[in-house]
Amino acid sequence: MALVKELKAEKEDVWIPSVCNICYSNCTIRARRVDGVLVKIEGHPEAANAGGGGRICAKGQSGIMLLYDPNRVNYPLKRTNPEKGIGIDPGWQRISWDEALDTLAAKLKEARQKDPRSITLTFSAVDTLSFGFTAAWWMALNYFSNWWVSGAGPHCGNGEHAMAAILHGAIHTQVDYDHCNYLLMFGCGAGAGMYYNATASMRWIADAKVRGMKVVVLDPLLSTPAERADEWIPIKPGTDGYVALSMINLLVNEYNLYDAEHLKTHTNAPYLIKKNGKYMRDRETSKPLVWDAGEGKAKTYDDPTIKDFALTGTYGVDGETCCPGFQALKDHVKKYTPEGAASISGVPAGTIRRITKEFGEAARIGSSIEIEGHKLPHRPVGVLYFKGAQAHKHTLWTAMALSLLPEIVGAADTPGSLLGSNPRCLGYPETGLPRWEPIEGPDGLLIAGSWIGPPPSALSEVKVPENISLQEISPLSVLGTGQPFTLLDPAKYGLKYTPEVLLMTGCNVIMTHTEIPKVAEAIKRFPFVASLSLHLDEVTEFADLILPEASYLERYDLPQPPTLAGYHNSAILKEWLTSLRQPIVEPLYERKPRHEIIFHLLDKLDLWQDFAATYNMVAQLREPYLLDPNKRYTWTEILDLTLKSHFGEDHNLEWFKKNGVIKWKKKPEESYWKHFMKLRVPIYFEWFVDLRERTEEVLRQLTYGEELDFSDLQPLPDWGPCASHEEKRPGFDLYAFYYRVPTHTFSSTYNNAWLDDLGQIDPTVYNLVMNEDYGKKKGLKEGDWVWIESMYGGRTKGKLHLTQGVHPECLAIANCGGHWSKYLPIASQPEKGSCFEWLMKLDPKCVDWTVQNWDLCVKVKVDKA
Amino acid sequence: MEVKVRFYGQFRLLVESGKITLHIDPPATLLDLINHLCQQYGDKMKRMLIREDTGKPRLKPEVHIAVKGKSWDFTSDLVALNEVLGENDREIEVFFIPPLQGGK
Ligand code: SF4
Repeated sequence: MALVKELKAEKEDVWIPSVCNICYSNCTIRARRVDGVLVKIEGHPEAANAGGGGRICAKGQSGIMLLYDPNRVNYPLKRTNPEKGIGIDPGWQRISWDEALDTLAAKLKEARQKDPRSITLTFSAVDTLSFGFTAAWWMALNYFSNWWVSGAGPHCGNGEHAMAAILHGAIHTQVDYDHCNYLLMFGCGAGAGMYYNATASMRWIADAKVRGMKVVVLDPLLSTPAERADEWIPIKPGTDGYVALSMINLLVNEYNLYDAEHLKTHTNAPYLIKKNGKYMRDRETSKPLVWDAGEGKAKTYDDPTIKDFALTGTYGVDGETCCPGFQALKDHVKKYTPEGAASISGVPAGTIRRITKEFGEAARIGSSIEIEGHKLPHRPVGVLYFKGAQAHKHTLWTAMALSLLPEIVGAADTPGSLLGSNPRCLGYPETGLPRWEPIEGPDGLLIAGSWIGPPPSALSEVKVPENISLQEISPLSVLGTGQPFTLLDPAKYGLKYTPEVLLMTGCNVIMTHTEIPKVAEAIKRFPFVASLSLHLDEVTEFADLILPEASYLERYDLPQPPTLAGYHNSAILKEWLTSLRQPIVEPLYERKPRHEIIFHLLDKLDLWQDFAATYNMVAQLREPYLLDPNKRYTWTEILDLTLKSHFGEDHNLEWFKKNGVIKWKKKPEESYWKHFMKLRVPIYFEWFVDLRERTEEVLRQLTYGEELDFSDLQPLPDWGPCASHEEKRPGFDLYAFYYRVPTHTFSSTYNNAWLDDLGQIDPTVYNLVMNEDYGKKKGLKEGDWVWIESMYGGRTKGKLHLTQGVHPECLAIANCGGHWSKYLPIASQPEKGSCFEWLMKLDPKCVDWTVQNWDLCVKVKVDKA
Repeated sequence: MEVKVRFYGQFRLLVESGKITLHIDPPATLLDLINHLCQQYGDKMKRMLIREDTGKPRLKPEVHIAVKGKSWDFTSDLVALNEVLGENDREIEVFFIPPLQGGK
């Protein structure tokens, strides 16, 4: 008996706070470890508002299966088969860590001697490691030059990100769910385990709906968010922008539902616009002029004597005719009638009129609310949109139109409305760190104070591209997408160096970029490819060396990066939150945390100093916690200094290991910054005129300049068709489009056994979703296998699910299924979905170059397999 | 006064050693230092560091300058760049950080 008691007392049973990383939402978790084995993951109760809202989604729970997946790669491997290709087995051979690190260091050294830019680093948008860490080792290794971000691949929100920066000083937007009464969503997964704050926003939206918020979803698919909405409005892919423009037209030209006070005070709506599309400027100061309707004369926009900003009318100034930006917008959108929108989008004109009226009236223009002693405008409406709406040929126009919709009713960064996430942080009270806020740029317009790279603004520069992503030519884009183009034809794209090493960390670019065979060819152009991997997936078929990585449950990290305004899991209201990711178990087998692998490489390449100096700067470290560049630290020592620097001496690594999470109050001055800072945002994007001129100047210097279309850079949005809208060949009668499901994170979770079980319950996860009526007409039945042929010639196969829950002219393809690696036995079963990229074409015409976004709708033919 | 300047990122393509020592007359400001660098390395350095077409010179959006935990970037105004460098500000770091990660 005594022995049994003693054993029981020794049995380990602990809950460890940490942070999820199955997706990028960074939910704060606690994990139960019993006798060294992870047995349960749940939401951290302390993260009750931010950080996942104290809960986690199904993907988060399934982390256990990632940790113990018998198909994880556990030892360093080298390739023995020199032949590379899709489906060709590399002939992996186990090697020692010493051999792996020596080989990689030697290749990197050789490449750096030629030109550090000859090294390309890939990264997954899902992988939320400390931003300071990533920035610092990239800076050290390849001068932060060539990268290839994927995971989400080109299915990115480049348009929304640009608009979030320009209009909200943020990287993306969320809604003030505590006060919002009417939410419109266009092709966006918010509230259904996708989009940002994935788990937290499920509760925020559910609570708001209980409170009475109405949700209307426009989407070709009765998606998970649409199922939960009050109303689903099926819409043809790529037409959201037209509907938004017609709604703006109704609001400003028919219903007179716009917030004049907001437009006058917080936007450039009163700035006078000349016939050439540019501001009328004051001769002396060069500042934009407005018309003071009180005194009947032009004044500079910041003149304190202005009595009343004119928003409408035309005026003669300095012998030229001009009108306020708002008048220009009113005139511009007149051609976008609800009837026109109906004929393009399939949404009935009556429905467009009704939802516009509901939206405009729900905005309660003129009302105010008191929050913590501040009387602020109350505009309880929001418009969220993401990939579904914007992944089309005219991404920028669509994003501009959808972003202007809330702006003109004043529903921006004010209670109840669309909020930037997160433009302003005044820091932890004790230290004032981390800190960022928007600044005033040229012409009184806002520039985001922290973004992912230089935020788009009138100061944005256009350069002759030297990097393989071609991003330098598209400063509105958050990430560049040109890699396969440049790699396949370096001479044409004027590369000044030869790509030598591809070092991949956590992404599967081959299944997430575009036309798969061409991306495969592009990867083959690197003489040496190494991959830090969790699994042997499709892209690792092209690797020469595999370094087995520890998962997020086996490593330390600070996933809420100090200077990245994303702060993904911080609530938009009430509180800021930072939590520590820590190992629940020590790395299993021979897996190593990325930090350890990179530090070994930095040592071998003598690059530690560069890392330390960059980390100090990017992570906002302050004396006395700065890294000494002459000293070698461990990752946990660095985290300790970072945490102390941001949260004070008492909140060191040990404190975080025990408590997991630190929270502090988010003030109205931060959430609703607009009313506490004198900054304007554009409703007329005047600086795009100049940006286009400067871009065209650069394009003229490029041999490939004519292939890149920047004609959408104009101050007000229009609507234009995608190539799919113009495909009229017989048989190509369905629009195939890509959509996301809450069950999987891009391509990375398909081998997870629990998620696979879940995916099989929902027929929209792995099947091709086709309208029942269309299926019947074609003699197709539920469960039939079909071949899909795209207008570009690409083909893929899939199993049908017939339903009324999809637009009759559409075929919906979920996420990034259709794996083929033999090392992913669950994911690679034939009935586990289809990969959209087989239908795509590597063609500059398929990209909106203004923001480097791919057009993800293609016309297809479907035939029984 | 003697100021050590270390360059990171693509500045290294221009200043290969990555580290130089400058002699500038005290009292010197960051702006003096920037002007000095532009003189020494010419137009290419100037094009990488500052832009003047916005009414007043600003650091380029990709450029960050750090001195012992203080840092300046394109959001810093001229007043900040005109702050006199003190005794402890003799080691200056200049970074070039282009757009980077992202995408969700
Ligand atoms: S939303 Fe993302 S981060 Fe949160 S629990 Fe789910 S998978 Fe994890």
